[in-house]
Amino acid sequence: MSERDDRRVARGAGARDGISRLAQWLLRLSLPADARATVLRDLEEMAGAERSRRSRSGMRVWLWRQVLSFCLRFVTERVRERLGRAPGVGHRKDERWWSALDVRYAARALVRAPVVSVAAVLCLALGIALPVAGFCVMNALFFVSLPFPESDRIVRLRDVHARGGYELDLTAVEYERRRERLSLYDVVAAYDLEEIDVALEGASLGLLSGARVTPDLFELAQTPARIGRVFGPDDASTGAGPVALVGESLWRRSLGGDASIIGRTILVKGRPHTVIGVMPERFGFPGDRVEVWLPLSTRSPEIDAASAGLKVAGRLRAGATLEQAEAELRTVLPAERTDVAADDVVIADVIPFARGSVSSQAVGFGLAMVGGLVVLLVIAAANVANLMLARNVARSGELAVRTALGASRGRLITQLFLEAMLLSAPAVVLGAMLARFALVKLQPALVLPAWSRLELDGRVLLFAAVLALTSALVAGLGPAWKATRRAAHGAMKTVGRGGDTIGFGRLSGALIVIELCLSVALLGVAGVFARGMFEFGRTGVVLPAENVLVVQLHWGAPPELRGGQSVNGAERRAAWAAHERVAARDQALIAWALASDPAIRTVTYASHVPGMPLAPSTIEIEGDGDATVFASTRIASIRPAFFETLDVQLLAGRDFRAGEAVAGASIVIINESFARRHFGSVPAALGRRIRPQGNDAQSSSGAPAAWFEVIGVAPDLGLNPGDPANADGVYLPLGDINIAELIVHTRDGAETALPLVLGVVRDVSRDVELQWTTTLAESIRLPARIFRGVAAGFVVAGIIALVLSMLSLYALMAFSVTRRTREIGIRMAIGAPTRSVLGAVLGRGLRQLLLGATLGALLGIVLARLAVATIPFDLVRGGPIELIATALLFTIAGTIACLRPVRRVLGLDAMHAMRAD
Amino acid sequence: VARHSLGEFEQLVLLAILRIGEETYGVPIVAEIEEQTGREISRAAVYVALRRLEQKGLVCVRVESSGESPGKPRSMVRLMPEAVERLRESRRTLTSMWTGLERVLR
Repeated sequence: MSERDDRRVARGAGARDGISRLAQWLLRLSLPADARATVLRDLEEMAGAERSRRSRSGMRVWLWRQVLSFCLRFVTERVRERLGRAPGVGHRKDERWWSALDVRYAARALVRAPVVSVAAVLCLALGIALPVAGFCVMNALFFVSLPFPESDRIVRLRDVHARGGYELDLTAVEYERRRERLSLYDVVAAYDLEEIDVALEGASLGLLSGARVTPDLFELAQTPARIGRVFGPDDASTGAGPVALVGESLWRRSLGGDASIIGRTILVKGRPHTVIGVMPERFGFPGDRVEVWLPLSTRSPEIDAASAGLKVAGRLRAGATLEQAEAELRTVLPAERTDVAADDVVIADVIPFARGSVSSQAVGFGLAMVGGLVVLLVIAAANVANLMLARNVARSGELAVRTALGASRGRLITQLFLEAMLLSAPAVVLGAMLARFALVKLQPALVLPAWSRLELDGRVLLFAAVLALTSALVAGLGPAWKATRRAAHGAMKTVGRGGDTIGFGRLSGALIVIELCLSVALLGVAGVFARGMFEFGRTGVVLPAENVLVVQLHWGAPPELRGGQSVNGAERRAAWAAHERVAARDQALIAWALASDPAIRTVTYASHVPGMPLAPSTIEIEGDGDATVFASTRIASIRPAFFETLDVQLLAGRDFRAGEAVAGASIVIINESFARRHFGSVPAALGRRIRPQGNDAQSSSGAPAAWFEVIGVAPDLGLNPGDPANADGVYLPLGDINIAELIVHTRDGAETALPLVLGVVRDVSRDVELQWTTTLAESIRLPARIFRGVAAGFVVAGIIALVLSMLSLYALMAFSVTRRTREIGIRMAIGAPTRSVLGAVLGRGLRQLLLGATLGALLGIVLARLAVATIPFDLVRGGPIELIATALLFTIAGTIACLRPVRRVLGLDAMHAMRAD
Repeated sequence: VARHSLGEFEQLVLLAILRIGEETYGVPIVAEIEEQTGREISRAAVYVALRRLEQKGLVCVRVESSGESPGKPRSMVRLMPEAVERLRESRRTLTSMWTGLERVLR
């Protein structure tokens, strides 16, 4: 290796272990040009000496501390030099750029004007509370990391169907093959999440969030059991006695909470299992809040019958990146997937585990939300800036005297800025307290992973501190700059005759316009979405929600296909058809067994539950003659007695009958909105024909669908909860299928019937997976509750913005009238008509009002467009009308805010006014 | 131009340069102060102090480009005669202030 190569290697190592590029950039930014190169070189030398004494991470911390210290000291030094306070010649100790005296002086100035100070603190606190609360929720949802050692290396390996966008699961055999070919991981594990019914000594503990996991999963998480042990390789082998792990909260809640639980037997899915360990409270892995773990075998010669539908997680080797992992997975993929058609593309996707359950859309939505709330803070800070500006004008004499006594401009700005900081410090504390209060109220409504907590942690506090600094900068720096500009130019001449010398108009006017613009945009955008959010999930029909239980039953993949053998298309279709027939038979048995119990009124199956969001599909509608129309609508599939189970009367026609409910039966029930939209009225719809397109058009045999005749019209039942204005949808007969929602109408409440339903399901089939269970009430309420919360947040933020802007406008007008009293007096004395005096005083305020409102409406349109692109649901109920209405509301409210000062102008006596100070 | 007394830290830096005894740069100065005072000091503070001392005309800085790492110059500092004079003055002031306090401060 040549000497040059040696040097290059050394330099590369320096960049990697030494001063990072970001640090170098920061140093370049902060240090004066003549000091940069030497400081960098010396720092590298010092780092070289330190390296032998510290660990790698300790070294990183040390280096960053040095870099930040250099940046801070040199920036301070440069500011001093810039402000003419260079501590060279003439430097005195008491002339530091800020001192305790300044802080004391600023505090005294604030105490002297208590009303203004309290108003400013409250204003900023309100502005800070909402974004902090919003960020806290974001933090708990999106930026959470798993509570395991080096959890940033834990990833999920996903196969994503390119066209459909959904994730494809693996079979046990596919997983084993994949595991052998992956080289970038310390550990790879497979798991499958499901709802598991658990019973202890005959008493059902209900359906719990469970997971079947390969024993490697605990090695991956590097988390030991709290009591007992985690699964070992033997637990998953054939012939091993069935064992289970339980979560700490379940153990405390229902299993006695003492160590004797180890070795006891619980019934899991109707079979006895021995408890071998208790997992710690916040484990919950690999789901959000798993409480029961069962071992999953993927290697035994006789593959676990239910081992399909597996997901894969892994711990990356130190130094491996997500890009490398993705590239590797891409090379592994094509050889493995036998279950997708040749022309379907499967994308390899490796993502950090903690963020796996959150879509990028949701992150965008959350960021948009917090962004909207930060706007509120800017409005509040602009408001406080106006207050400060007005106060500084009143203090122009004092500032002039200090200038005359030798205070530099920097010193005055510092002091005024310190005042703003002193206001924002209690504001951030108060704001954080308000945010905490709001979060405590909000907590029950949010579904968070077990490992995340809704708390004001370091990241949230840092965010709050940044907000405080931002608000102090907005509220303090502009007014201070303005106030000291004239003061620096010998303003003493006006002191003592009551005049003020600080130009107040332009900055204050600009602040008002910005404030109005942001407020109109915020309230306007809230208006565009709020109605959609509030109406989310309203069906218009009263359903017996509390008495209806919904359980999703899933029969998995056909046993012939679970081993990952390669089969041709015909065999595959035959296997599925047979499997679906078995599922249908089991479903019929479960329904029959339940219906014969006196606690149950009716039982049915469907593909969709009212209130849950459903993607739109295209259908073809037969018109008069040969013409047909294509339309987008929602399609659900149901079995007979669906409407009876929900206590709903059909508006016209009849329900499906038993025996008709097989795929291919060419009849359909439509809802009222569909009938009115496409056929004019409910009675006119009967006998008309429609035809689903795409996937919905094919029965399981693959034959294209025939025309479907409308035999009944039902009321709208929440097929499109996001948009009641487009509630139209159709119900097709639900054929034999391996996955269906079991809908049970009970006599005494859904919760009490759950053990009975679980018992019947287990009696019929032990293989069926229960995906999720809820009452109809919950399934309707859950999405609606989240959206209503968000909508309420935005409307409250918008109203606060409105009030703040109006207060600001009022204060500005009142101040302007007071300041111009003498001028008004002179105008009146020389005979100006009242109208022209009013025009002079009001004109500017009204112009600002109109300008702010117009800009706000335009900004609102842009923001609403952006929001529509981000939010995954169609929630737009308003448009330009709402925005224009908001602008008008602001204009009217603003005019009213100006009225009181105007009345003062009208009541002025010219002689008195001229004598005013 | 009025002469003002040196700050404590500035004195430490000047004394460190004096102790090293020849033209030197930041790293040895830091090491010397840490060794003599037995406490860890902020590296950045040393560089800021050197800059100020240069502005006050108490040290003279020469940029030396070294052969071993091209493109990375090193700032070598040397004491000006006035610095020694100021240190002497400072010691005189302090000594006179300490005189007679032995009993109280023992």
